[in-house]
Amino acid sequence: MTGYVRPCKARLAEGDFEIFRAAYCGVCRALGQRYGQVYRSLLSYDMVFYAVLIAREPFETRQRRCAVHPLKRRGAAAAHPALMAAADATVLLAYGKARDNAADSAFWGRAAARTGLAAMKRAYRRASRFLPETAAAMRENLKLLGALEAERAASIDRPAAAFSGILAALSERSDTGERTKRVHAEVLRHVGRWVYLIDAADDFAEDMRRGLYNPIAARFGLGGSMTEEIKEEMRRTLEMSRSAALEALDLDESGAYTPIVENILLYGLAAAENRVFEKLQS
Amino acid sequence: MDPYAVLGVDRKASMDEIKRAYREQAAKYHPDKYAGHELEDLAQEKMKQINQAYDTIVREREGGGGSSSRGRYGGNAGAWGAPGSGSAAYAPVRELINQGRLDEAESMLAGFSHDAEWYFLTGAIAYRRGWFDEAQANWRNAVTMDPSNPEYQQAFQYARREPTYGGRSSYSYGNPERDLCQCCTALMCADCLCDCCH
Repeated sequence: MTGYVRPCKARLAEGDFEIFRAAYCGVCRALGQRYGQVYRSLLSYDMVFYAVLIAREPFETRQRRCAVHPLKRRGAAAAHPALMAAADATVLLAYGKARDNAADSAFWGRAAARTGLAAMKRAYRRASRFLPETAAAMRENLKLLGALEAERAASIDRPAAAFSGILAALSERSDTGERTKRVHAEVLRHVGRWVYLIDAADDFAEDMRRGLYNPIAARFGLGGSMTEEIKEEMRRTLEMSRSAALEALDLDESGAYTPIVENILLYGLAAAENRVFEKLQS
Repeated sequence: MDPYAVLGVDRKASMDEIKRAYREQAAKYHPDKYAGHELEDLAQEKMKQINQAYDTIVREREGGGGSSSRGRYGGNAGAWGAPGSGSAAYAPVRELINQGRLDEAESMLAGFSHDAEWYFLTGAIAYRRGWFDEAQANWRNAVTMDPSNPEYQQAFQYARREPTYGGRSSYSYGNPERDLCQCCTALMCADCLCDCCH
């Protein structure tokens, strides 16, 4: 399953893991119901995070069986605005990724390629009706991202901002007023920068091997491998984004699942970061 | 608004408990933490509520008249707008940055030559956008060009500080040992969801 943005189970409060799992199953079901069974393969942790972030009312959970887990009955969250928004966002972003064909990014989901661009067109149109601002931001920012990549921009912040601008636009579905919208846009913006950069770190070795644009290599003028100093620098700047996302989250006062979101930002992202950088060391 | 609810304490809480809750809340939303942040205004609003709630409770309990605001946390003006800082030429740019009108501030800066203050303000725009790498690089330039300026020094130190995780830093995660998620690394978190979602 794809996505860096997931909780640290060991540190979740009792019962919260079941909620996260129910949200996961809920987004999956929403994908099936709103777009068709094949779209369930696009599911990513990042979008479950989004659902948990914007949920204002608790999910209603029902025991269900599904094709993916035919033997077990599991709590799945029933239809909920946050789950539907996450399903729409999943389809929209997957289409953007497929079209961008800048491949490789785990965030967008490799399954997108399998599903096929042409087949996705209708689903994309439907998703953009539900997320018009995000669809517009995506069109604009993918163009920008393409240009930055083509010119091999020596910046980590600028391509990251093009990407995180798309995620920030998803706050259009935060439906409890302007204040919450601003808070969510900020959380998503910082998380988006983190996702883009952790992905760049994760892909570093392969990008180098294949001669592809890698923002970290371009920013620090690296040829083959990432020096210890640059790794430290990257970890610092990733940490700044994580910290800023939490500071923004502290201003969200009406979330249904703030402790889960907090767990993800505080521990889940740190764990993903450790995994990526430990792999880089070897 | 119920002052007890704002501080998250019970109506029967002792004065010590109330003080503790107040200090915790104030630390969480302290304006210094949100300086130059995109949501600075929301944090200031929150801080005001907390101060008011505390004042109201103290007044209620002391039967009025008591000077309640002693020792409370203040707010500050916009991060880059402390009166008297910077040259007059850049004042409109600072104003725009404090209002969050970053694109306009950036276009206005394009008309200036790149002196220390230019780098400082370019860094402030980057910081507010969450472009922490460019913020730091620009602030470093500002400090290099004018090492005696306390405002630039402060900003540069700010960018190099240990992240606070919204005031959670006292729990000691992360740097330099990164003990935060050592427990989670690989062993637990890497597969922590494997039994749920495949």
